[in-house]
Amino acid sequence: MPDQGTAAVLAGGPPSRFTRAYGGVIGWLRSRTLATRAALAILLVYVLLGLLGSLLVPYSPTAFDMMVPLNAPSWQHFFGTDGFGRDVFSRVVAGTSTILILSVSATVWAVGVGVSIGLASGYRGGRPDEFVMRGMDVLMALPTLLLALLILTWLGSSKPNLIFAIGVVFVPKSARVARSAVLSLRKLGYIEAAKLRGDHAGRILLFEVLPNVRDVVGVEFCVRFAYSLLLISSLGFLGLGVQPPEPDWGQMISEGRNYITLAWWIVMFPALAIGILVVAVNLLADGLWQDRTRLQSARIL
Amino acid sequence: MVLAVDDLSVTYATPAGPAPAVRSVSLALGRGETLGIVGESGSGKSTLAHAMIGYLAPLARRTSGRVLFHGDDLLAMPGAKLAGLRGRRIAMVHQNPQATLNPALKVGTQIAEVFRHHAGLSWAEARARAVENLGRVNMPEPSAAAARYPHELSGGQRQRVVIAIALALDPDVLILDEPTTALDVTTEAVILDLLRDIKRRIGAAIVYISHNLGVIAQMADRVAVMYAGEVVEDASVESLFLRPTHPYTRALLDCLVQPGASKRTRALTAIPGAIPRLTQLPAGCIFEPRCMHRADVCLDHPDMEDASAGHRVRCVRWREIPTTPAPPAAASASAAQSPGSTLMEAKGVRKSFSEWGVAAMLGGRRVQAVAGVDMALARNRVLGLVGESGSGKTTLLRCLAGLETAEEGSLAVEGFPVPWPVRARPQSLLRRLQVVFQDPESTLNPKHTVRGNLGRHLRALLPAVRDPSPLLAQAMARVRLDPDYLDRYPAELSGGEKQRVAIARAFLGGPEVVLCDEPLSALDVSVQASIVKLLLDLQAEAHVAYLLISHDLAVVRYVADEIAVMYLGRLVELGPAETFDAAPLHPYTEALLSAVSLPIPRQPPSRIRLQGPIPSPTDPPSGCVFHTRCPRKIGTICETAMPPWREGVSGRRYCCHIEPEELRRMQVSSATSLAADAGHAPPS
Repeated sequence: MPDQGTAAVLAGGPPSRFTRAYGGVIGWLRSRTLATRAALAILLVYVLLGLLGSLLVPYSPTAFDMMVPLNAPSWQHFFGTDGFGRDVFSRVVAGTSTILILSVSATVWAVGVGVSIGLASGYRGGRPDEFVMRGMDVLMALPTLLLALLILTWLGSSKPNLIFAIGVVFVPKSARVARSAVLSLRKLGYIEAAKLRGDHAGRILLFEVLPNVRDVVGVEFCVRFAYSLLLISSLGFLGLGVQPPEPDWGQMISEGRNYITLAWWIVMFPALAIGILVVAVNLLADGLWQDRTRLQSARIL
Repeated sequence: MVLAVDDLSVTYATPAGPAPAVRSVSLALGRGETLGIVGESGSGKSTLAHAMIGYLAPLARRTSGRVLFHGDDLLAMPGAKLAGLRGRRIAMVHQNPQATLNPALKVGTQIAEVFRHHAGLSWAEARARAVENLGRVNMPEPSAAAARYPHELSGGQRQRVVIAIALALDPDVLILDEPTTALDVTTEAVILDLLRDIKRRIGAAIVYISHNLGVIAQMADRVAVMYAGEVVEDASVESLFLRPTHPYTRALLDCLVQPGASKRTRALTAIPGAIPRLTQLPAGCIFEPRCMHRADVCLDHPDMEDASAGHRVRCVRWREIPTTPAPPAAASASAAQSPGSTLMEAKGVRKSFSEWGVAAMLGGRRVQAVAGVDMALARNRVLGLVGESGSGKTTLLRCLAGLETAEEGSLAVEGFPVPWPVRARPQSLLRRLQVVFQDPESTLNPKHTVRGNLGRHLRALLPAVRDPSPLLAQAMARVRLDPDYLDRYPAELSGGEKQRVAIARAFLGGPEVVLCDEPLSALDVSVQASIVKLLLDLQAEAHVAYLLISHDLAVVRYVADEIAVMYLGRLVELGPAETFDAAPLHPYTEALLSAVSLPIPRQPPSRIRLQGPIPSPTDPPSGCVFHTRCPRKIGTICETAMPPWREGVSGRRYCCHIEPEELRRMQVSSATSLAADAGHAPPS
């Protein structure tokens, strides 16, 4: 291995190519790996389905049609029909916007609060940090699903409560990730220089720390997003998520479970919808992390 | 010849194109000979060292030449055969012993593995040989040490273990890649003594790689100077240091602080520019863009020429360049300045740390980092603060800067009391007191441009400024950087340039006191000299007071007007810099001075050595804190009573039980006995 000095000399051209490429979206995309771009394409499809779903569906997602119960997939019903004769395709498409809105809001609030707590606590250090993080440990010691169920049975199931519950469950995890990121930065020269010019902690966290943990927070957001998709679906499956008649993938799987030997498609298509979305989000998280390390080494080289 | 490198070129594949890190290097090494390879970072010395054990990094490719070990090409050898040679006939010692040793195995086991693997001994025999080998590297209590884990040993002891592993099977070739760079200066001196001793005892050919010219002068028989992948000069150690011929070698030696030199007597000469990027090498002589003797003939690539018997140099103009060293340049402007009034005064500073979590619950003790220090800084003056790592000098600086809150003691700036925490200090004070940090890589926020980094500082320190642009351009000019640099990101700057920007930042608000925390230690020699020059020039312009922390005594002695020596959180000696090496008073100061490797070949061994690591500050020794390591301990009084401050010659004060006259007698007698051992006349 060449030492770092050698590596710096091996560098060749100035690394500005990489740092300045952030200017345009095209440049940004071009500097990403194939996995990241593929994941973004899949997510774009989901977002479009969520936005335009109601225009695309051939049937009402909630209308019963007792003439066609448990029909196999066909040209009339792409994904078949369920026990009440509802069109599975329409229900899957209609469920997209619900799950996206729920999981994005839950993730934004969980990661937002978690990262703020983690940054502040890690930056402060000492006894308060110890206190906050042990509190987070207590929350984390409870199984995710159990804690969410507990909160929902206590507050009752509604969309805001669902978002709140998922947030509470994921805040400690985001806090821990953000804290470990800030711990490695707090004694660095540029942070101390900011203290020496009299900047207060909030300013330092916002202008000096946050830009340097942006990548970590981005990846954390994707990972939490994938987990909250799964959690919302699990809660739907258990009957504490989105309430019928509104279509929800987890709830659809739960209902279709009884027919699985007769009509596999009722379970299959919502499960696929969840699966592909979660894989895409994970792929994005992975890709962003790889790009980060790749760009970092390119910067060193 | 045991080992010969013949016209070797190694090229790395990089995103920016092929980077030829080593080009046409030819070297030869016989039994019992020590070859020193010296070069700054990026010179290709590590790539060359790895090629010498038959290793090329995954992206590296040999483009020409061979590495011959007893006539066989190591780089063409099948892996199995190479594996049989490595560790047995060719051994290597790396820079960081912490990373070389396996933390999960006892060190005895790690040495025994060599005998198991290469010599096929039984575990019992191998362990016995391991203990024997620890004895060979002068490890105290070898059998007890063999049963320890690496984390239970000090840095110097760990490096002894690594050397014991390398020496286990009496290799023909021993490659030492910066073996003392990660160690404290006092530990370095002890390890260098050991290596010198080993060199005498074994007949191995040794390759000693270092960036430190002083260490190379002490260790090597022959020296190859590398620059940007080429050997530019190759000569015997005497010939190289007494008659340096290549302009680069000479410039490098001029960058070093000569023993006894100070800013009053001699200005440092720095090498302009920076080492070229390997993907954009100049077509002619690689040093031509930075060379003060360049001419048109230098635009053709030079070959190695024989300057004298066994002295080769890669320069076409070596005959025309005057061989006498340049006359000492005029003393630096700041030296003429008279000392001003006291700007900052600290009294009785104490700071301790306690651990949180499990350690604290189990009755964690407090680490006394600074234990009662008085000091003062005056306008136009430089106070140098020296000591080993762990002596508390950085904590003291951080207290003064307000980054740590001292528990006891008072601080006054121009007579007015100042609170410790930086948040409690008024804005007008922040502007006057700034810090230059050690690590150039983290001193600037990598996500902001230089303008962003400096601009935010400027706005905070001088809120009244409407248009910062002219001030920022002026700040860049002050540190001799092009204003274009304002729009670059820190990643696009070299280490020295980043440190310049950091200095510019400290000077933005017109400071009066600048605290420098090892600002040079992460920089190459040629860059260090230019930063020292810059700091002194800025002092002459702005009449600031500096506190300069460094572990490099030579630099401190050069730059400082006054030197304070710190040990285990306490000052032990304080006095004017010019009298420092002539007559060290405190035994610790004497040991620090003895540990410095001078760039003068074959120096007689120095006076005294410190054994063992610095004691833990959680439980400092009783009486004089230095008594556990003191080579001049006089008796039980050192263990029981705190020593008094004594007045020495020429305004020097030190904290010791020994009277100045008595100390002087001890120093003379030990110098005489040592010199007698080594067969030298006592130094006058």
